[in-house]
Amino acid sequence: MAYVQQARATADPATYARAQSALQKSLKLQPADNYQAQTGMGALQAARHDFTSALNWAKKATASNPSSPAAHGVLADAYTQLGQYEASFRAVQRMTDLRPDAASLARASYTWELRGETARARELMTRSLKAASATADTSFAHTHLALLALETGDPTTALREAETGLRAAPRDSALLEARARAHAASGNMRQAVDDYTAAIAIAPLPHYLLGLGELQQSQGRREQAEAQYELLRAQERLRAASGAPADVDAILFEADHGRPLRAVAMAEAACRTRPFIAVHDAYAWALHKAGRHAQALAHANQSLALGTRSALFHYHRAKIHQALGDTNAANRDLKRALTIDPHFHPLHAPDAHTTLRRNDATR
Amino acid sequence: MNLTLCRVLTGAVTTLLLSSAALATAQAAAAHPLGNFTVNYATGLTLHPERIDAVVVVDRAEIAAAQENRLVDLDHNNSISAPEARTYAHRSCAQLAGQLQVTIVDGSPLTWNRSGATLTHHPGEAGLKTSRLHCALTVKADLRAPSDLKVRTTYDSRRIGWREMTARGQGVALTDSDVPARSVTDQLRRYPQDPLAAPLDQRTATLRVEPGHGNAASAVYESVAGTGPLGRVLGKVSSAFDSLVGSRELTVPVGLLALLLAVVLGASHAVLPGHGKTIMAAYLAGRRGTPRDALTVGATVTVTHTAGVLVLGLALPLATHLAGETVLTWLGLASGLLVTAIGLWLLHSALLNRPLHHHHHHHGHAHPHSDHPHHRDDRHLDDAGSGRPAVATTPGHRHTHGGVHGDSPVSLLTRDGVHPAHPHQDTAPAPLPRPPEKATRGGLIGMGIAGGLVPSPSALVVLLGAVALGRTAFGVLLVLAYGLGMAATLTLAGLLLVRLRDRIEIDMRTASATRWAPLKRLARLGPIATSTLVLIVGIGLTARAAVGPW
Repeated sequence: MAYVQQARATADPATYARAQSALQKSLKLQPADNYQAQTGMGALQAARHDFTSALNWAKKATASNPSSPAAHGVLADAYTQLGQYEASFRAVQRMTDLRPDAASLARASYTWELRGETARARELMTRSLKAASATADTSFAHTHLALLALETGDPTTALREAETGLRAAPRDSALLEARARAHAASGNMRQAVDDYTAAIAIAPLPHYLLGLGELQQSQGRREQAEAQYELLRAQERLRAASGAPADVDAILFEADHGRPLRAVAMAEAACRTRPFIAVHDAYAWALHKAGRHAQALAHANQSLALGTRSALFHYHRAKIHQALGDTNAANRDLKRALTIDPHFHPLHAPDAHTTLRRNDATR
Repeated sequence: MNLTLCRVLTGAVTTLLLSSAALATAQAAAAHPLGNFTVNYATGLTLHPERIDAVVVVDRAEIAAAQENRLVDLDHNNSISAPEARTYAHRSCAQLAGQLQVTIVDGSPLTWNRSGATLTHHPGEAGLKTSRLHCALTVKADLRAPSDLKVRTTYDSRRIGWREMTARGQGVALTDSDVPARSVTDQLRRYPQDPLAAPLDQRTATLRVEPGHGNAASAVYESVAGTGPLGRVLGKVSSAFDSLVGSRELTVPVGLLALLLAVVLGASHAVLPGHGKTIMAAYLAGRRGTPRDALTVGATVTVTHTAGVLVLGLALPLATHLAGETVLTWLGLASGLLVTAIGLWLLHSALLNRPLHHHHHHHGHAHPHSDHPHHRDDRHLDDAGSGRPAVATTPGHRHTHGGVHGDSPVSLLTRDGVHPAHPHQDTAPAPLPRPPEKATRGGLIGMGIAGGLVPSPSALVVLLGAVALGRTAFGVLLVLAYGLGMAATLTLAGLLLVRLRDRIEIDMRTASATRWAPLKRLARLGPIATSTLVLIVGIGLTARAAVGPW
C-alpha cells in the first residue's frame, strides 16, 4: 500500500510494479477474503487507469468485507471512471454511511461536482476539510476548494484556499498549481509562472507542464512554452513505450500542439477502457481538431450529459457547433463557458470572447 | 471540472488502508528503478592526512534529465555539444560545491576546489536518456591530529530521489562515522530493488578522524569484525571464504574447507569484543560455574545464534521493509535488555542469598560455633547482620546433611553432629558448591541467548550469499558451523576461567594469607561484583543499541 501511496505522491509509474508484486504476494498467502489486498489491487489498477480490473477487484473486496469504507471508495472511483455514475453514487453513499471521514466526504463532494452542483460540492468538501486530520487530507481539501472556486470564476477565494493550504504544506505541488491558476485568473502572470515552476520542480506532472506551457504561450513566450511541450513529448514517449492508455492531458496536448490524428487514436483507446466524461471531452476535441465534427459532437454531448459545470467542456462543444455551422448553439455554449469562468484557459478563454463577439457582429 | 480528481482520490483511499501485505522484493519494470522523475545524489568523501576529496554524483532519471536539458543546451538546437556539457558541468559542480558543507569542528566551512566536472548521458527508457553529473572536489585540510568533522548537504531537495553519503579514511583512521564507507548503489549505478527500505535520505554526517590507517576495502569487515589488525586479518579470511562459497563448482573438499573456515570464523568472532560475550566469562567465574556450565552457555549460544541467523536470513526477503540494520538494532536492544535483566536478577539473588554462600562452609578444621579471627579472611561473605557465628566459607561441601539442605540455619547448627567424620580438605581443591540448580540453568541459558541473539553480520552474509546461489542447505550448514565455532571459543574461555579460578583458590589456601589478601577480598565481593558488572554491561549494550542505526 505504501507503494501505491508513493506512486501517487510522485505520480511515478515505476513504483506500481513493486506495489503489485507486494499485493500479489499477500493474495497468494491468503487468496480468499483478503479484502485489504483486494482493495489495494483495486486502488493500484485505478491509479494505473485500468478501471475495468479496478472494478473487479473492488467488487471482490466489497464482497469479502461489505463494511469496508476503503473498498467502497475504490468501487466508487472505478464506477465513476467507467461512466457508471449511478452505481458510483450508490457506492459513495454507502462509504459515507459507513464512515463519514475526509476520504468519503471528498468523494461525496465530487459526486455533486460532476453533476454541476458546485454549492453542495463546496459544502461537502468543507466538511471533508473539517474531518481531515492528516496534512495530506487537508491539503487535498484546500486544493479542491480552490479549484471549485476557480470553476465558479472566483479567483480571490481560490487564492485564499490555496494559500491556507500552502501554509501547512508549502511543498504540495497540487496546491502550488491551484495557486498558479488562481494567480493566472487574477492576471498575476509572473506569480502564476513562479508557482507553476515551483510545482514542476517538485513533480513534473503533465497537467502542470501543459498549464505552464499554455500560459507562457499566451504571453507570447513561445520558446519557454516549447520547453514544457518538449517534456510533455518525453512523457508521452514513456507512456507509449509502457503501453498504458493515454491520460486526458496527453490527448488534449496532442490535439492542440501535436498531431490531431494521433490524438484521436489515443483518445479512442482511452475511451474504450475509460468512458469517463473528461475522456469523452478530450475525444471530442481531438475529433474536432481532426475535422470529424459530427462524431465530435456526440462525444461532446456525452461529456456534458451529467450537467457538469465545466467551462472547458462547453468551450469545446461550442467550437464543434461552430464548425458544424450551428452558431446559436455555439453562442449558447460560449456564453455558458464564460459565465462559469471568464478565465478558464489562457488560450481558449480569449478565443471564446473573440468568437462570441464575431458571431454577434455577423448576426 | 477537475480532471485530476480521480488520481488523487485513488490516493486518498489508500491512506485509509493499512495493508498487512507481506512485501516482497520485486522487479522494477521501469528503466530507472527509482522512477522517471527522480534526481539522485551521492556524496563520497575520502579523508587524507592533508586534504579531503569529495565526489558528488547526480543521477537524473529520464524526465528529470530532459527537464535539465534546457539548462544544458544553451543554443537550443536540441543537441548537447561537448562544450555545452562542459559548461553545464562546471557551473553545476560549482553550485554543488557550495552546497556541500564540511566543517572541522570549531572552524569555518571549507571551500572546495573543483578538480573535475563531467556530464554524461546514458540510454534510458523509450529512447530517452538519463544524465550523470560527476563532480570531483578537493580541499586542503590538516587531519594529522584527531579532528571532528561535520558534513551537511543542502542540495536541491524538492524532487524525490536517493540521497546517499559515504566517508572513508585513507592514511587516516575514521574512528567514528555515522555514514557507511562504501556506496551501496555503486555511486548511483545500481539501486536496491525495494525502495521501501529507502529511498535513502542521508544529508548529514558526523565524522571523527585520528592518525592511523584507514582502508576502504577492509572497512566493511572492520565494522563486522571489529577494528585493528585482527579485524583486518579476519576480513581477508572472510573474503576468501565468501569466494569459496560463491565458487561455481562446489566439490567435497571445497565444501569441507568452507565448513572448517566457518568454524574458524565463528571461533574468532567470539574472541572479538561485542555482543556481551565477555560478560559470560565473568558470570561463570562469579557464579562459581563448572565446566558443565561453560558447556551449557556454549550450546545455548550456538543454538540461539544459528536460529537467529536462520530466522533473520530467511525472513529478510519476506520483510524487506524492515531494514536489516533496524532488525539488528532491535535484536541488539533485546540482547542488552536481557543481559540487564539477568544482571538485576543476579544482583538481587546475590544480595538476598548471601547466607547461601557461607552455610556450607567447611574449612579444614571443623570449628563449630567458632568465631576465630583466623578464619575471618576466609569468610566468603560474612553475614554480619545474622548474629550467627561467622564461619569461613571456603566452598567445598556438597553434602546434603541427611536430607536437610544447607539453606536452613538448622543445617548450620547440626552440621558437625551429623557428619563428624567429614573429610578434611586442606590440600585438595574442593568441588564447587552449586547455586540452586534451576535458577542457575535459567541464568546460564538466558546468558547464552543474550550472547547469541544478535546474529553476526558475517554469518548472515554467508547465509544470504548461499541462498542467493541456490545453496540454502549448505548455507544453513555453514551457519551451524559458524555457531559451533563461536560456542567452542566461549566454552573454552569459560573452562579456562573456571580452571584459573580454581588454581587461584588453591593457591589462596596453600599460600600465606597476606600474599593473597587483595585477591581474597576481591573474591569475597564475588557475586555482587560480577552481577554488578553484568548489569553495567547490559545497560551499556542496551544504550549502544538504542542509539541506532534505526
